[in-house]
Amino acid sequence: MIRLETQQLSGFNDTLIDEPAHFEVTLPNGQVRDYDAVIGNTPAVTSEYDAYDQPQLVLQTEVPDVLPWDEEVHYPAGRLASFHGRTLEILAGKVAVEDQFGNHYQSVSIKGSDFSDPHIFSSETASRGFIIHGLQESLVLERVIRASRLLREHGIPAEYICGLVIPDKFPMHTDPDNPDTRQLVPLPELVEALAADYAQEELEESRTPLEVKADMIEKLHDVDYLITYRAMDAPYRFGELADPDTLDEFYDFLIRQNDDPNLHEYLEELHPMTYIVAQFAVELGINVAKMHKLGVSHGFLHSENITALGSFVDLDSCRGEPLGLGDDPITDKDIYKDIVWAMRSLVDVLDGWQPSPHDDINGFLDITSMQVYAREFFLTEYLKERSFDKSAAEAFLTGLVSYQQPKRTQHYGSFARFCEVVTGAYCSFIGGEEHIKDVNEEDMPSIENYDLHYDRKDTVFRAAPARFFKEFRDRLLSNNWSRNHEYESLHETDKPLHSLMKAAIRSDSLRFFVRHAEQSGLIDEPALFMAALTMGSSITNVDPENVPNKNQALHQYFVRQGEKMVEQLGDEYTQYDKPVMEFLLNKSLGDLKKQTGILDWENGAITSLLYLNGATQYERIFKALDLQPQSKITYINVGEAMRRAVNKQDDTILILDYGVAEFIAETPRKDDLWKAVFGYRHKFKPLILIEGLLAGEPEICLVHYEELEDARYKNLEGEEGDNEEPEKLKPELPETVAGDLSLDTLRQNRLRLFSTD
Amino acid sequence: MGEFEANSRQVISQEDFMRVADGLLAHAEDPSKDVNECLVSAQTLVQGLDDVKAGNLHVEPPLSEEQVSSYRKQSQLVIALGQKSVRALQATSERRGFLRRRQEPPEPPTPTAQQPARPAYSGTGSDAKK
Repeated sequence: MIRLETQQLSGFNDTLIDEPAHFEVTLPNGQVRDYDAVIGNTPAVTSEYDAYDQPQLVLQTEVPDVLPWDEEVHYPAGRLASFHGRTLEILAGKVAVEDQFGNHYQSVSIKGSDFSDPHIFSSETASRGFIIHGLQESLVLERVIRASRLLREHGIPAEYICGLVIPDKFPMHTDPDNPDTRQLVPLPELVEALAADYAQEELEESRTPLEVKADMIEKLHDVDYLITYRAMDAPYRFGELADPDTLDEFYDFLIRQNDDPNLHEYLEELHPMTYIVAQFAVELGINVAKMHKLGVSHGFLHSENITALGSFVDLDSCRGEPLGLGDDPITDKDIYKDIVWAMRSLVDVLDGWQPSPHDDINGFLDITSMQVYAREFFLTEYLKERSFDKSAAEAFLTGLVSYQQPKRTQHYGSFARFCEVVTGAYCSFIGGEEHIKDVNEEDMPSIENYDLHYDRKDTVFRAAPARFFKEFRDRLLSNNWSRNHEYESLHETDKPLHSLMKAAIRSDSLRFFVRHAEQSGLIDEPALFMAALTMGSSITNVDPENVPNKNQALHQYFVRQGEKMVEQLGDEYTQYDKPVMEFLLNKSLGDLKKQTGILDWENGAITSLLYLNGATQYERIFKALDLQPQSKITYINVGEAMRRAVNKQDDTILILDYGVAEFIAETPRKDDLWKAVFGYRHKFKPLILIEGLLAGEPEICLVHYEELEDARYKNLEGEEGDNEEPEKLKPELPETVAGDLSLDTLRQNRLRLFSTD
Repeated sequence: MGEFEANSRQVISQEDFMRVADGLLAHAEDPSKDVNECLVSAQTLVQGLDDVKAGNLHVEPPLSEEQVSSYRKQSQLVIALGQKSVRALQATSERRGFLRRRQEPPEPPTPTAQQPARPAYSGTGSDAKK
């Protein structure tokens, strides 16, 4: 590491740097560095050794090999382990910076002075499509400075660009074998050398290396490389909190910065999950909403562009009219993108806290729930901060769900949970503050497991999910709903969002059915029983002492639930503790219906609900169904299935979830499995195949339908002695239903899923 | 005549001419070389070709028209690329602007404790703040 010769700049173009109202860096040895001492001594990383191996770097002046914290050093600096790794943190005992708006900052970092491995590489976010590794291009700085000021002025936590310097010359390695040798060169020389390296390494067919070099030099001719000093609330990015050790460091940092014994005690007792789920998520929701209210979007709100305290950094992607740079007004799409990315960051970080499969079974369930809670809290606070009225919130959330349509490669489950988040946030939002007092530990057993001390801070669980405790639970588990299928009673009015809620209920919420059944004692409800039944359908023999994976842990959970139900429902259901698939296979559907009675749901609205959560049993199931004499296969989406259920159409519904379909598509046994479907199809009773519990994913339906067709013809070609003509073996799809297979129609059906039926 | 060393009668063998010309071109087309050096090499080759054309330099046996055309085309391409790079690098240097400002520190308009005067940077070529 060397000290760069730089010149301090007062601004970029017409945009001036706001110098701090107060700036104080206290070194661990007690020495205090002021603004000029820090800004005037820019450190630069000059070797890989500096950049990656040394935990703590010391900016030296004259004394070589000086010890850390030596009084001769201006200040120590270390690499900030952020996404790009081009930021140095000033390693101080304490940092106290205040901007002109009265905002306070506890960390100062230096961006754009990493010369350890300067090379040109392509970057989608770079102004000219290419950027020099480790450096900060000048063209975005005006936007960064303006965005920083605008956000800070309005009390929105964001990085504060408090200093700007331009290097006089740039250190460049001259001997690849000796990383410590470097030469200080002016910018044109650096650019030419790096362009030459690029041209020789990135060989092209259509251009000579000399042409590539000349083009690159021209491309970068108006780009300069400046170094910014950034004051931030914390030197940790949110993404780093996925690592428990880093989270401990983060807590240490907070304690060091704030000499408050109460804080120390509080943080010691603050479970990380509580912080991330209930405090950070809430804070982030408020901050994002404030930014959007201002007419600004961030654009890349992933976990590395948010600090561990929820403020925004890397503002070069910020857009919006108020920046005064000629931007168009931000659109709903910009807003939705920020929200989706921010929520994704919550999920990603919580993934890092996934408990071991050997943990208590509730651990797994709780992590998934925590990811839902965190997003709910985020979104609820967002809605509140935006000051939406009820109808505006509904329109906003409906748009958000439309924006987040499932992709072909996306597991439907993630979208289903997204729907849960949206519905939960909606309920919390319209529920208002009155639901806060409803929260107690008894109501939140899963959270209790994580020892969440939500009463320690006002904001904790301020957005308590009314879904579980009031609005949603009452309606979800009301007798009216489950017994009489009065879906519209979910809410007084019938708005698109309520259909969305239904979709969430119909999809991934099965496990919530079971949970609520347990909590509410409504386990005699047919729907709840079926939920438990279907979720338990893939239960295999599990040794409680040896749970090798999450799925088995999940199964084990439902085995327990099933046992409880068996106990309460009587001897008739003693077989429930066996794998349900075995249970079903040993009985014809008719016998099953006769024996259980409970499957005759409201006079046969659904004769039988079969949920296949394991493709290995696929073929056997169809062999079991071979008992049925007539056949008709109908492909519909879940909305249509529910409509038929509501209309009490006497169909057998076979739900094939997306995960199974995906598995079948990938397995070497794919053809065999599809063959099983078509080999027996003509013997089935009316059979509805729902591909995907949220089968409003038209692409999935269509693709799988085509795969079915292909597999069928392969099957025919491979089967000798089959007297039937291929045409006759085509699925006997009524015209009206066949029409449903068109992409447009499926899309309409999907939309219908989110609109009133 | 530069690199093309002819005898007293200004005659150079075709073999020697091509050896020198190929060397100049190789140097000129080497992207790792300094762009100004590349320009000089290419321009030297063009000068040699001009001398041949003007009768100041005789190549024995004479170069074919194709050979002359090829050398000229390649060297002119290198010159064009080199000049393009030189102009861009010059622009890079000029747009920095800070060297000039260091020599002539700007006068602060109204320096205050909150906002001491420092040169504003113009990275897009607009007028430097004075």
